[in-house]
Amino acid sequence: MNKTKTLSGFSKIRRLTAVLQKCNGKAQIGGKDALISGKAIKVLITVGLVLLAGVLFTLFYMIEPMVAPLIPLRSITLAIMLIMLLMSFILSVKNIVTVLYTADDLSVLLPMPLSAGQIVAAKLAVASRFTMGLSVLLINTICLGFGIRAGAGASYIIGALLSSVLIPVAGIAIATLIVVIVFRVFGFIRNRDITMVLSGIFTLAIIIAYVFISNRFNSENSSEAVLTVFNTIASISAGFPNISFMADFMLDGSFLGLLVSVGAVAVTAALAAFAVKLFYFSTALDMQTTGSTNKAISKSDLEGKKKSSVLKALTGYESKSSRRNPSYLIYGFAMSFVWPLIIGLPMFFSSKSILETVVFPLDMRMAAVCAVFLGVTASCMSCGFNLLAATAFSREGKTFSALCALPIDFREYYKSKRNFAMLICSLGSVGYVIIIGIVCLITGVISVASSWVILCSAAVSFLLNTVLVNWMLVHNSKKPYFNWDSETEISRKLCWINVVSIIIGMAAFIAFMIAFAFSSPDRIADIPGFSDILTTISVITVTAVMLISVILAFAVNSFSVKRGAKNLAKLI
Amino acid sequence: MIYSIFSGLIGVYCVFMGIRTLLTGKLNASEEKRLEGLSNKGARTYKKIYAATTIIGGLGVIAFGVLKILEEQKIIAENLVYKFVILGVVLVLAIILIAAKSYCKKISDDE
Repeated sequence: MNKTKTLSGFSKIRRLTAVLQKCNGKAQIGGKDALISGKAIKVLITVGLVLLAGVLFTLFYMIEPMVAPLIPLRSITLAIMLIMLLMSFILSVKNIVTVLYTADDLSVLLPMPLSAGQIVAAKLAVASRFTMGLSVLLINTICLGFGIRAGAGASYIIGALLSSVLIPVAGIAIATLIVVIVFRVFGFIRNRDITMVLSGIFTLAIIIAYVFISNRFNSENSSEAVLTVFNTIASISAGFPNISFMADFMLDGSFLGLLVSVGAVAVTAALAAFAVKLFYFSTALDMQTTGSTNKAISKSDLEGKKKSSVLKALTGYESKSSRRNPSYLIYGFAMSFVWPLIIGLPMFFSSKSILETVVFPLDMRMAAVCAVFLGVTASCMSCGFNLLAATAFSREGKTFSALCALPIDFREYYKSKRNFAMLICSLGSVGYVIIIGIVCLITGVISVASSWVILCSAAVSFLLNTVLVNWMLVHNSKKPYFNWDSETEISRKLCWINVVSIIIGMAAFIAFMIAFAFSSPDRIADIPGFSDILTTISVITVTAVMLISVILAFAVNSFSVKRGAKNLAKLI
Repeated sequence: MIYSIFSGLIGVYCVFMGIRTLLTGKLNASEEKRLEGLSNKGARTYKKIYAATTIIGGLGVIAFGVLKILEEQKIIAENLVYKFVILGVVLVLAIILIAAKSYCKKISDDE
């Protein structure tokens, strides 16, 4: 008698999800090193999550009377739902790209007794697990905590429970839909690495553009409500029907709102499924054969060009080994260029009223201060979001011992890493500063007489890049992490210097915005006595920042090369 | 109030680190380096003791913070006894941890 158990489609997906989750290799919790049994771990995690949910619920329940007079319940609900939707989307884009396109597991999965739908469902389940858990925890605790204390009805509770599941589903569906279509569009580029970068940037650009456009169209709603950040975020949610209609159901009891919201999510999910069916497998299989590792070697490649120096050869090696890998491309190159989209634009557009009140051309003294702050922002953001310097030596992995066997001076080796990181960081900072400066000059934001501030800003940016890049390199050379399994793992090993530089960058950006708001000649004249001390403030700020940057950059640069080489020599 | 919040934060951090050690079986990098000389069994035993002492110590510190708040709010009377008890518990835990390390050094994988 044949006792082979036939698994249902759902069981197959569940088992495949478990396997893919393990193959992903991220989970350290409950691994072989765990000190307690698997069952105990599950119990501990469950108890911990329930406790965490309880604490969050109690916290929001208790602070509701303090928040309620400032922000209405509708704004809180809409803002939380929108934040969760965007968070689900952003987290899902990265996960979906990794799971669907860069896992390289299709050649193993396709011969298995699984349908194409089951493979995709399992992959999407892996990609959405964390997002779903996070959404269920946060939406339920925050909305229920605020809602129950505010005396909201049953429809609010039902809506919150439904939203905690439907919002991440919508976020994942939108991400899948865009990623699959964008990858299909860029699929004509027969190089996976470039496809990855272009598609990632394009996907983020699409959603950010949508958020801004929907915010512009809904400016009537927000004009009187831009009193608080919450209300501004809430006004953006009108661009997402699943959120705004669900809020109607939750707060006004509109049953039609519930139907429209669920319908919108269902339509998005159906569209995503349709796009996956149409495009996914053909694109993913095409990409498997176009990875740079599978490229045929031509005779001209082997001939090569003679490198003029060791430093040049090492820099060329560093450049090639970084460009070859999708993880470094996304977290190294792409992040260095995408930062204005993530940080600058949202803050710039949210304070668009500043732009409308400032009269151009700007006062020269204030333009100089603004330029200095812009240079600091660009440098800190470009270096902070970039992993090239922070993981420079760790990226060598097991090949480091092979490199040590070569007759290479560690100073040259260090310099090669520095030069390459400086090139990328400077393109993403000095490049932007010069472009922004030229645009400002052409559009009349700054006068021709003030054009020297562009050079000043670019210089500050370049000098700060030198400091930050060297700092990260020395830090990494002290304790490089060579024992990694995948490039994705090493791409997460950012150091605290990255965080510090992003924080400094944010502070400098806020300072830039404030200085910009007070840059009109008429605004300066309005403040009594400000014009008299402005020259002093401007000269002191510009001179201090320039001097500190120059001294630091030269000192750090000469010190770091020696220190880095010393650290590397100790590793042998 | 600041002391209570501070001790509460330290306590939560200790409990979190203890649970993390239980779930992952890993300590921080410097601690792991110190355990390099120990056998697998010895290191595992030490980690278990470390996790247990950290969690108990963390709970003790949280309890100290809670009692201090209650004292400040005049819900309970000011009392020195509990402070000594908690200090004693923390001291005992520290001694246990030091003793555990020398005990774990003697454990070999063959046993």
